[in-house]
Amino acid sequence: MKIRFWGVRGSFVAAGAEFVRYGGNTACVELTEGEKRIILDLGSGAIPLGKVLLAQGAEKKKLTILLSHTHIDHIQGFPFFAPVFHPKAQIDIYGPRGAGKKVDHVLDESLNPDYSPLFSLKNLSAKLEFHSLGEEPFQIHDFEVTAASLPHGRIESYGFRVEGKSGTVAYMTDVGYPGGVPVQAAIDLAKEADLLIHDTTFGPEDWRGHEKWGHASWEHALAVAERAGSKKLALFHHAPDRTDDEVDKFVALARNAAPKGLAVIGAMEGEAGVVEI
Amino acid sequence: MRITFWGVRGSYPTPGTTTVRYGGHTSCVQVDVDGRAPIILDAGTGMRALGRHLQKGPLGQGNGTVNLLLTHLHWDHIQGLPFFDPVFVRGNRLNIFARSGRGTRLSEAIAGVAGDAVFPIVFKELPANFKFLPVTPKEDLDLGGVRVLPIALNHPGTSTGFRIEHGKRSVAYITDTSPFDRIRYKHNFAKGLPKRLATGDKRILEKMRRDLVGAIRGCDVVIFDTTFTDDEYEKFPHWGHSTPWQALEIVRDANAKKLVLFHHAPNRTDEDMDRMLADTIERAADTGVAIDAARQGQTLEVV
Repeated sequence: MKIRFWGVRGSFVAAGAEFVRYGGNTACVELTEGEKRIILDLGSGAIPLGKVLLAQGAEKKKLTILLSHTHIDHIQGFPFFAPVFHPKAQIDIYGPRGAGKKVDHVLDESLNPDYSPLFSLKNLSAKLEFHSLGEEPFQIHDFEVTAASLPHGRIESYGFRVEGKSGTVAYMTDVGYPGGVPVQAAIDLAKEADLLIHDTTFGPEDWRGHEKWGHASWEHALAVAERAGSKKLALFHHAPDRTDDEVDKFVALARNAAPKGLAVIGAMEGEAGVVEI
Repeated sequence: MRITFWGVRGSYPTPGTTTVRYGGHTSCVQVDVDGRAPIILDAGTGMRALGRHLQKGPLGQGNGTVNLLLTHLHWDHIQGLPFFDPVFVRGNRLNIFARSGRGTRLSEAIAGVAGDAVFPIVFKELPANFKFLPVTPKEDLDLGGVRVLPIALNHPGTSTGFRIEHGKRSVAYITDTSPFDRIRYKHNFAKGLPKRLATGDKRILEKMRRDLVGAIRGCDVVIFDTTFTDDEYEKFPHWGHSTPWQALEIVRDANAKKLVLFHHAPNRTDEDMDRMLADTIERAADTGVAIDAARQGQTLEVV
């Protein structure tokens, strides 16, 4: 399986020279195994991805998107995701209820005439289908997907486990563990995963004082990886002010603290950051 | 009077190596008149860094006021608001001036920017004091001796430009807008240009253009939506944006002194912007209008 990061940034885009190496777009990750593809989240990173997908003719196959939740940094790429304007494209979107609202309702509201020239989901040319996430494993193409609700401040965010033929990826952003103790659902999703992509908005020091913000530190991510026996950890959802050099430092600190046998990387946009498992 | 650009990009933010010089954040411009509360034009993603900056002053102490003028509520113009640090400080005052496009109450439309489905904190829990002040084109506002004139623009959903004037100095902020000749936006979704522009619409558009030219007459600086190249405009004339040439004609007709290209298209690289600027300077040679292109972080003194 090939994992490509199109957006690695959390909460807010980071535009500027000091963010160009890891990248400044908000959450979007593409998983591919041969011709099969799953897209995780539609942050601003989905905008460049959408252009590439259309150039490759990907609209001929059904596209599947899993949304962890509907906070703006995870859906802001949606109205600019080129396949939604392609009349032949078929797009399946799986998402949780955001604050009691179904995912299609939240996306439709975000396009209302106050906020967008698109006015409504009805004006998008692609055939869109929406699905509410549950706890039962399901198949997408040949991937086996398990979703689990994780705590994220006052709402829930879904983590995903995607098992392909060649390996398993676990994706959990945005997640904040009460008391800093990883919940069992997170550990189950990451069980022996070849790659765990985990929210590391904070370091151990700055997590204190932000316990209720619904985000994790790299210490928490390491704890999940260790208890789950994951093989590789990608630090993800970099804080919007964290410069490239600071992400390097985070990665070095986490590597030093990592249990034996766990590789640690910083999620990086572009070809340079591609992970193969 | 001083103008500082915190976000210059249109439609969506564009981080990356190709936009470092002009900047990747969406619309947010600060206008300062000494001794007055800062005026902020639009609350795009550039607003986050502006908030950090303003926290060093009275806003950091919960003792500041900001007058925020919103052209409209499209995401690229409001997305920074819940990330503007001064809204988290009790005692600060934010006066928000705008029109709501579809008749929603302004307070409700703005609150949706931080509804709990899309933002971790709901709007009404933000500690700062918010005042929502609907504006009407042609009806002057007095912001502590600074005169602000709202101007009707031609954009899906609606948009409002502003002329800001103090003493002999004046700045106009004209984004987002189409030119005034081929489409008039009403409260429905624009699939494309109308087959034929209705006579009534044609007349209304001509009047809008005359009013705009009148409103920005003699301005020192006009910041104008120049999203498109000429070729791009021909492909997307119904998207509600203009070209540098269309902007220049209006600025020239208004005898304004300087045109600042703004709301750069997201796909426009720094090199593309250099070319667009050079090309516009060349085209403006006979007009007497000075040309610049907005860069994130740039400050213009209007003296």
